[in-house]
Amino acid sequence: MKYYRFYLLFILLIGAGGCNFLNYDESSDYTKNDIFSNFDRTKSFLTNIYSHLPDGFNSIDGAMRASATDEAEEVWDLSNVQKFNDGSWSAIQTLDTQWSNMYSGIRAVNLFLKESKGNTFEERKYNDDYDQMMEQYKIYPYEARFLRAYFYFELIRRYGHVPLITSVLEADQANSIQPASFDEVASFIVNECDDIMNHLPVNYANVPNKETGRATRGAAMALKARTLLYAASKLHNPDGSLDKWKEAAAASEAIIDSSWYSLANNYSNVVNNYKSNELILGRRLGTSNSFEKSNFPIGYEGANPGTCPTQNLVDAYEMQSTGESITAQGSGYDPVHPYTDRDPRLAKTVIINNSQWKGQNVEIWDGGRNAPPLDRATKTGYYLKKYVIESVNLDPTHTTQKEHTWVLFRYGEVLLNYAEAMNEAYGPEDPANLGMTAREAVNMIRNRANMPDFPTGLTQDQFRKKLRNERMVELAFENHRFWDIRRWMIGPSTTDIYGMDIKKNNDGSFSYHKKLVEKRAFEDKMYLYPIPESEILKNGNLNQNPGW
Amino acid sequence: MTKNIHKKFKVMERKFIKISICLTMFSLMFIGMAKAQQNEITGIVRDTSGKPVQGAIILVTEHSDTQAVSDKDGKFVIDGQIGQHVEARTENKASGKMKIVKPDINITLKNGTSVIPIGFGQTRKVDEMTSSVGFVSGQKLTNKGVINPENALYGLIPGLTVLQNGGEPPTNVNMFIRGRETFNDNSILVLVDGFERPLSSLSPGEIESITVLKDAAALAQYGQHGANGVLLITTKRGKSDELQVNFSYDQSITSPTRLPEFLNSGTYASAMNEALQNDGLAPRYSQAEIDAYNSGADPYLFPNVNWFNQVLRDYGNRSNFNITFNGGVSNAHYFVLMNYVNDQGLFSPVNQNDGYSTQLKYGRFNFRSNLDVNLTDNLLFQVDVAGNVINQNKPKGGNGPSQIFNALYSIPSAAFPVKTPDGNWGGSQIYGNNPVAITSSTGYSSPNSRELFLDGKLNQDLNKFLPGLSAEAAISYNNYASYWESKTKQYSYEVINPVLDNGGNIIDTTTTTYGEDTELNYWSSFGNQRRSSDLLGKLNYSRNFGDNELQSMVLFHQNSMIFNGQNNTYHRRNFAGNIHYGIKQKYYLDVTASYSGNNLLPKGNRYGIFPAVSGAWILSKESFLANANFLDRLKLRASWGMTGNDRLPTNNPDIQAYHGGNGYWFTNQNNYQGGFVEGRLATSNLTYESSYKTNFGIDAYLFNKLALNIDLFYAKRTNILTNTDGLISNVLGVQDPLSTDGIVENKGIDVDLLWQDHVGSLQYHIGGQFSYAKNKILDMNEAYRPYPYLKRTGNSIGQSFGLQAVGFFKDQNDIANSSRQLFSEVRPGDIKYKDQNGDGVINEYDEVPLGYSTGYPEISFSANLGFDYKGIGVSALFQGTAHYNAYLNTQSVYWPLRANNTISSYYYNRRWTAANAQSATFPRLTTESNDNNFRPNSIWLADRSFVKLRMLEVSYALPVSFIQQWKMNSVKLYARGMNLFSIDNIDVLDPEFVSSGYPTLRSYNLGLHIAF
Repeated sequence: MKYYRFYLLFILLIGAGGCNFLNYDESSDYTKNDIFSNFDRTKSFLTNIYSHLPDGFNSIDGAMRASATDEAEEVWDLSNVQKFNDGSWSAIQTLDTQWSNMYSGIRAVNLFLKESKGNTFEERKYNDDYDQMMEQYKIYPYEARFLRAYFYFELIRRYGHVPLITSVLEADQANSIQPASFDEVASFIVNECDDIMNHLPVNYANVPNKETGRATRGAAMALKARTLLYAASKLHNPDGSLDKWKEAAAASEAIIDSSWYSLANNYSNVVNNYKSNELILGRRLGTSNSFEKSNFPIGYEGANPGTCPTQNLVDAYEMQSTGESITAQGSGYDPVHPYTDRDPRLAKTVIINNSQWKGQNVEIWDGGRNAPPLDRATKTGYYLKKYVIESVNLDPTHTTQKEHTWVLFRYGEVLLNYAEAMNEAYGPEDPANLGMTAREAVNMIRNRANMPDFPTGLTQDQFRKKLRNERMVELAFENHRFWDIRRWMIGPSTTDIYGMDIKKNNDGSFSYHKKLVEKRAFEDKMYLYPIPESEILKNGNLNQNPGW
Repeated sequence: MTKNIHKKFKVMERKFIKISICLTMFSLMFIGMAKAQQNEITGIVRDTSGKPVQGAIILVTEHSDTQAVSDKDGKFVIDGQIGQHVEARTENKASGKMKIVKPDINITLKNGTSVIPIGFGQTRKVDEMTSSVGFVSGQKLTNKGVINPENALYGLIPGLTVLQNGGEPPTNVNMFIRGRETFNDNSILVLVDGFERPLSSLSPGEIESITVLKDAAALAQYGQHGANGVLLITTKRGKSDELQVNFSYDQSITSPTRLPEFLNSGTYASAMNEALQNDGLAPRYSQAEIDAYNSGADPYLFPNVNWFNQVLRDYGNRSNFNITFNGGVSNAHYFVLMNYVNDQGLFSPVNQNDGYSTQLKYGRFNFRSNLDVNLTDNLLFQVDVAGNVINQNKPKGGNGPSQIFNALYSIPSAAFPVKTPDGNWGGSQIYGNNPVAITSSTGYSSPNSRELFLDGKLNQDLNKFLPGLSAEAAISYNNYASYWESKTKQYSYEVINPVLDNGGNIIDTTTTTYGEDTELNYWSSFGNQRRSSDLLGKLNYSRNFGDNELQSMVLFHQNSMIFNGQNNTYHRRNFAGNIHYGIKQKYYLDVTASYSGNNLLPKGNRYGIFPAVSGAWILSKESFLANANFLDRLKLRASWGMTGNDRLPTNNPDIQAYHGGNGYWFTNQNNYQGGFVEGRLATSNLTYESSYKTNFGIDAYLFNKLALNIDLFYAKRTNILTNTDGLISNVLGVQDPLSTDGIVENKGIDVDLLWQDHVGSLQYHIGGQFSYAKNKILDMNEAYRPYPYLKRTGNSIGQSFGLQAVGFFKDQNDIANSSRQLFSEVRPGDIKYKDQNGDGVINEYDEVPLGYSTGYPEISFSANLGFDYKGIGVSALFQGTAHYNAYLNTQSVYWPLRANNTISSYYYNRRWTAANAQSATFPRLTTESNDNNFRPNSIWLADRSFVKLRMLEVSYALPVSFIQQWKMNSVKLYARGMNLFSIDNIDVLDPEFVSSGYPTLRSYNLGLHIAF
């Protein structure tokens, strides 16, 4: 019967569906093997790890870390950075949680080291650039290890003790990992730096593609030196071991001795400048104007400040003629003209009243164009200048953006680290076996700033005091003060925040009155961050830092 | 929470007690009326709409050799005695049965309800069902005055919750069967004639019936694809040998159910000043300006525009033509439908252009041809061809209507005039686009779509091999594609600025022109597409052995669905079988199982087995209930089984993908290089969600008048894909894998009641439905929460969370003495919150569960009533929901003045001011973003419960004797209203559409239905 043909058709159709009917897969994502069998993707995987390097532009809820120190006060009351100051942070209300970001960077490094090992990228073997490619590839593991060491440094300066993970974890291992002490992690960082530094190029001029911005030998040395400096500091060296200071001094000296770096001629060029010969490692960024938007003085088009330098910081700038602190007798300080004859770095760091900004006089007096009572005007009488690129245009019709580079390590810091370690280990004037005294090192910084040398004959204490002031001034807004306060354990002395009340007199002159802006909270527990409560609940082996 | 549940069950308990008291009273009245007495029984057979049915076969169950046939008035005479049963049947399987209690009886034929589709082409007598299904005949969809059958389903089937989504055609809905059981994809499976296709693609007139499969016994045969519930749509087929033509025409006018009112310009200006003052800012309008707005003397400089009146006309309109042909010869039958719908929207200034209109138009042509051919005595061949063509017209580009409404809900009446004195469009640099200009001067777009459904099916009777055996095979192919054409343009507008003298008086005006008038600019794009094909093979075996009856089937089904884009191709395969076994027509047992799989799951984990068992016991046939004359039918049902849900919330979670991540800048040119990152860890043991469903049901038919169905259900869904972020320490350094740890339970009740009777010639019915589905998350791998009340686990899916408002700040003192609120600067008149954890600050950690979900209601209910008297009919459908919340964040209406938006009179009259601090229900006016006030909290979370009159119809059927002279079988005229009113707490907006989009519509229909 003819209709049996229909059955035949249906049987055929069912047969055509076949057993592979459910094996249909449209996914086109790369797998692990796709990444690490291909040079370009392997490289991109490492490139991504660089992006875990933190920058300091508005990194804490739209504000700078400086606003959690006596360097600055954030205008926006509701930014989380204020919680550092009002003491309302806790293991539940965590701040600046780099915990996850750093550990994902660390995992990526561990994975990179494991998976990229010994690859020869056979399919590229007959390309002309194969040798150049492999020359870069040879350096990659050391770059990755540098980055991992740096991530651990970021972790221990926050949390003190943290799990030290150097392999790729499985999901079920993460909750039972044991933490390592600050010293264990610090020596891991130092050992890693020692291991890798000679495999990293001094610079990338002779490496194919000339990819400056990558980790260099100097970066590894600087990381080691800073780690040792932190390890020698009071917070982590309660016994005051001098050997730790000596190690720190020697590590900094190695960089000075290399002569690879020099101080930039102009202090204005030390930040936002990835080509500077002073820069050891920067956190590079693309073009943007968001930092300018949040730091141009109020009243400038598109401005919405921002980070405002405090009177505490401004007072730290010494008198240029005498080299003395403004509070010292005979310093030459004139309260009526408070900004005359000051350390030139002040004018390069802070926008002061009646100074020029974008072709206009900045009016920070009461009722001025850029001052209270305008909403979001400065609370301290100052606006930030360092890192803010004046030429950026925020006019909505002609908006421009600029490249920014955040300084992670620069030669100036190395000199100050050296000076500090030398002073602690040997006093201000003893070169020991390292060739340069603490005073000579800091005077290099002073010379570049056109400031008089540190006087001779200072005691170790006097030198320490003056050096700490120098460090506050030279490294202002570079994410150092916050950590220095902690490692020196001087928190309580930084809680009274002052600003300047500025009135314009009828004759066009100004009267300046120092005023208390804020009294901040500081407790001993704040020398370290609390480990997030959620992490402790998940991993019972983690223990909370004291006081939290 | 548990306390709440107790309360609800208590309420239900009370309802049951009331119902049982009623039942007892009725039974007392009727018991004893039955007396055994041989008699000549006369009666009338009517269909469910009350029309007499001619040609029905009547028999007395107890001696079935006696038969009678109803005449043209539905009348019949038959011998029988009181206490016996009379059955009536027609060719198209409609049937009715009732006990004789008096010598003249009325039999109502339950059209098609006696045998209903239960999936895969199977049908089953309602009496024999062991599973929980809901059913509605297509007839009930055609009197709802809608063009999209989805909109006809409100309140029709208990357990099926249908939520409206705005009023722009085709007004698709959200449907849930027994609420939600997963926090992933809850979408239900919609099958048209057995294959997955959207219900909205059909016209109501081609639907024979809709079945809702609810419990595991009904759903297990769909294996991995059934757990969210299934909607089975069966289309009409040719039945009679004579040609029957049905024609209907429906003309309606539509208007928005509710539109908010915004302030006139004078009041707006003073409200704005008040807001600015509250914010500590300078006022924007001087008193002279406010006076000028109020006087209206200068409509250009001080306009007062009611934008809604300018942009919307009072009514849209809609026509609906439907014609069907049903007929055939002895071995071939056909059903052919053509339906044309033309809907014209609400926009008013649409014809000011050369040769084109920018009206919102929706034109749809539907066709269907279902053909049944008996190729031989044993071989039935069915070919169905159906589809639709949709042509639309919209102002501006594709999102024109939403942009226009967005402008209507934001531009203040004081912003600018519609047109300037020169006849150009008014506008401003501050407030946004002129809604009248967008409507009329930005061109139009026309989305077009086509859809085709093609089914072929063979059914071979294999009686000669084995009595009771038959085989089926079917193929189906479906294709949908849409295509957009747009012709859009830009317009120029003028801003009028005053010129002031030194005293601030206006001495002149200047106008500045912005933008430019352009020509229409053509573009087109491919919109969307969907293709699917199915293959089905099936063996049926049905036989009776003495008192035992057996129906069974095994089937193979495979389906492929292809949507636009990647990872959007689904291949599914299913082997299923069912055995239905009955003993003495009293005891029924079903065993169902499916072995089904799909391509989304990893190899080795693709297939699952889904078993279910169910049973039914017809108590009313037991001898001990033989004397309960009031009890025409009483059945108990129970089922348990497992179904699955294979809808994954994300693609390929079982594979760890590496994808593009942040890059970095290298070289002395700062060149950006891209980065790759490790993606989320792979899910091990990825599998489908398993739903274990238990159901108990009672079906009863009492006094030959009251039909009652009650279902109680409990379901537990496991293997729900959920993230593990809360469980694994972040030192892992990569996104945790999704795990299949999620567990949700869902329980509730469906009740369906229908009382049908007549008083003389007055036929009437009154019915009610009630559905309650309460789910609870038992496990979702929830992240660490610092306070227990923040936990989502233990709450329902989508439970609303927010801050508990305790009032408004009275003054600065009040602010100083209260907990610090950390969202934004707080001023008097701002919302004051409860400090839930007593830590002295109000932040996200003070958010607590508030109300219910904003996504779906836990309770839905409906009531339908109607009567018919000598051709005059009235029917009404009420539908409502409860345990349902809305988040009131509609711009301008609830969150006014921010971002230069306008303000509704509703808000203005309820705002906080220092003078009415006691009676205010909304916070102070502000122009700032004010994160303190405008965030999830108890002020904005409103009770969304409502009762709506979905449909009210008055109809008149011309007397048969009168129309027969024109060879017509029936002529019906009707007037209908849809969505006539809503009783709710939302007041200014439709509770189902608290949003600034194209509004939901009310419609008034006039129509005519003729059958030849």
